[in-house]
Amino acid sequence: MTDDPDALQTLKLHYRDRRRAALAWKAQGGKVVGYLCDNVPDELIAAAGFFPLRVSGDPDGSTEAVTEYVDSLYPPDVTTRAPFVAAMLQQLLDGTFGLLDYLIVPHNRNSIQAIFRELRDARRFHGGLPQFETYYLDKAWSSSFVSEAYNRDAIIRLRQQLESWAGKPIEDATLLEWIAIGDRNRELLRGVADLRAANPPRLSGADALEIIGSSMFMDKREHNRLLEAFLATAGELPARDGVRLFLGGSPLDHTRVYQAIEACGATIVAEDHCWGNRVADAYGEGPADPILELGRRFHRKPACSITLPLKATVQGCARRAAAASADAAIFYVMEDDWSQNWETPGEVKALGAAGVPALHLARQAYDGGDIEVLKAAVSRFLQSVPSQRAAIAAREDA
Amino acid sequence: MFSAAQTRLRSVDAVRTHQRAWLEATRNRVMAGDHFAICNGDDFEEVFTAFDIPCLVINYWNSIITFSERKGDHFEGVLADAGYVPHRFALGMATTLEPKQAPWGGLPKPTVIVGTTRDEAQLRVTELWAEAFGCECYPLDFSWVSQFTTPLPEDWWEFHRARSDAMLDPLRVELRLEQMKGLIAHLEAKLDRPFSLARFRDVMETLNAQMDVWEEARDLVCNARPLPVSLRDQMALYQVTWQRGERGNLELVKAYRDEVKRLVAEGQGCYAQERFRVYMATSGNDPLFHNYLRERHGGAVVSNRYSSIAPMYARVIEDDDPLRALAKRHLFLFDKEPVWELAEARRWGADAAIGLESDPGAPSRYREIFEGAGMPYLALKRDDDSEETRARIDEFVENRLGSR
Repeated sequence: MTDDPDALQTLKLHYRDRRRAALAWKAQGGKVVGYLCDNVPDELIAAAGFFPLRVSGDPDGSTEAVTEYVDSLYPPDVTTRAPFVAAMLQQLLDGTFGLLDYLIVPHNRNSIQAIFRELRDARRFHGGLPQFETYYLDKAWSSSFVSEAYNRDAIIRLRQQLESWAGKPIEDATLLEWIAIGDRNRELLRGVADLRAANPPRLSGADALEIIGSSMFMDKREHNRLLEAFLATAGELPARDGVRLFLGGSPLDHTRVYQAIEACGATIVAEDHCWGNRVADAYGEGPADPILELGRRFHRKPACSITLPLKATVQGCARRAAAASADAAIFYVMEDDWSQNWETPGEVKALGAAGVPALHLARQAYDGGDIEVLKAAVSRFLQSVPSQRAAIAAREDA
Repeated sequence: MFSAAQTRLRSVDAVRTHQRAWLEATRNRVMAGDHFAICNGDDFEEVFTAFDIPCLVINYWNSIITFSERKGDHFEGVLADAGYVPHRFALGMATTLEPKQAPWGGLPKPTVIVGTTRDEAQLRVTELWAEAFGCECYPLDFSWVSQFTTPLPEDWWEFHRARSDAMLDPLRVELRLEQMKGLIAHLEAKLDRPFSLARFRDVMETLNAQMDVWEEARDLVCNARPLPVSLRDQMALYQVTWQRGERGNLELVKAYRDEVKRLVAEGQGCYAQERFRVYMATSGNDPLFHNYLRERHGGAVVSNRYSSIAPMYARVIEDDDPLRALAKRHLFLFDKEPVWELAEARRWGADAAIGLESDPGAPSRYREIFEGAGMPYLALKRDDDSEETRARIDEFVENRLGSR
């Protein structure tokens, strides 16, 4: 373990300057493979000798390039997307991710899948756009054996594609090494989750989001070293008070909403989206054949939040809230998030049944919108929480 | 001022009557203990037909709620009350959440709802709908967007019947086939009846025959001057595609073809005048501004993209394997893209085209393709009959079509 008193600050630096490590890699002659979402096996990318960089959006950015280069190509009902997806597509079009040599687009929610076609068509009909080669990583969503076999084959084809890009085979031993590095990373991130779920919490949700997010913008080996250093001294972090809050809803790849909520006197002790604790979920059964293992993980890990049946998604959300001993929950659901729209009411109900009151904020903006309006809504809700908790306790006593 | 009058075909009224009678008969069958299924559009209807299980298509039911019964606003309110942001695909589910207001007496409880992964909303809505009914939901893998990962040939609309392999990912075809076989085996056990390949083949062949007749009628309609069948009737006729491959529906389409033949021979038109012909690059019903367009300008909307989609359901059955033919059809039906729509507009002898765009003032590929081919193109935000839409139409007709 390396002593590094600045570990947390270094992790935050990489979260805020997301291309920093990839650019350094590139400067040394390395190649960078971008990917969307949290279920692309970055172990394979690293084992092929590339730097894996997860694509994210920018809440301060526009979506002008999306309108100009993509939405102009199709009728309006073809191009519906949640704003966090638009933010990522914008950066893929406007050159922010010009450092990419390749991009992997997984078969996740509709608007994510669509990016493969949208980039292809945009390049076909408009000049001057970034030309990184794009690969479509197919996935069957249903849970049957037939789908598992299909998904395993998708990982085999991804391996072949990466080998083709690299011009050399991926050795099993190398892949196993990177699987172990990834497993260690998830283990350490679960340690970070424990700091938030502790009573009292030792880490804010905003800080945790930065720590987790940085794992997808850095070399995992360096990330592990920093995490170990951070966790070694994390017990000395000051205790946090306030309402223990669970955050559900749309993916958030920036801290603005977290900061607004926590400024109202809460600590986000856990969340259920693909930039938060879900990144640290384990789906493996142990390293047998590495490709079979990655195929199994790819099959089991949700495509966005989508697991089948819906009940499993709802129960998974409720379990996360319970594991973090949340007092209350907020669901921040963005406009046109047609995955979360159908999941959140059931999740609110399930949490309510478990005695966890929830605030459902629908049709929200990607950037947090008017932060003062958001804070006012959160404050009103948080003020109601202690009394509701007391009422529940009274009912239980009765 | 011109006349806004339009005719109505008897054979299409017969289709309308048939659909109501079909639902009534289905309800009676279910009350008598028979099975009933709900499935996503273009998905598993032919298999249910071969099982002799009546099957309601979700988007068809949604269009009845929205267009025929004008209850879309009400059921959007039902969805909002349940905590959901309203979505048109979920209107059918809303009629189960609040059955008192459901059109035509509502739907009976299905044995199964077959959903797809077409998109996350459709997947989740079918799951929630099944939960509301207390029945099973069986999802199949087919994503709306992923079909376009295989680049389409330039003239893709010529490939459907015999060359669809060129438009498909062969791995997806195999996955689909495996999943269909799994669902059929599941239904055999659930319904306690065998699946007959011979009966299924007959359904697929009847489907092809139905689409042949449709195509014959479509060609008569689009080549005739004046237009013998209004867009309203063309869209009402589309209902027969929701029970493709049934003998009764084949007969309904034949009756339509025969009536069209007679109208063409007699030179009868559906609209009072066709000073100019408009193609709608949309999927919706007759646009709400159509009366105004006819009355104020004497223009006629002669078709939209659904006027020519039905024949795309036909597939050659190769290697005596109708299930594979259906699997291929499931994986691609059509794309909304301007090169095909321009070809359609020309097929229908349109003088102009109207499309819906989120930013009508911005450059678009639809505008580029249509205008580049010399066909005036108007982009509208909505196909409503508002003052704003009327003003846009007035300006377009006067500046671009005035001399016609």
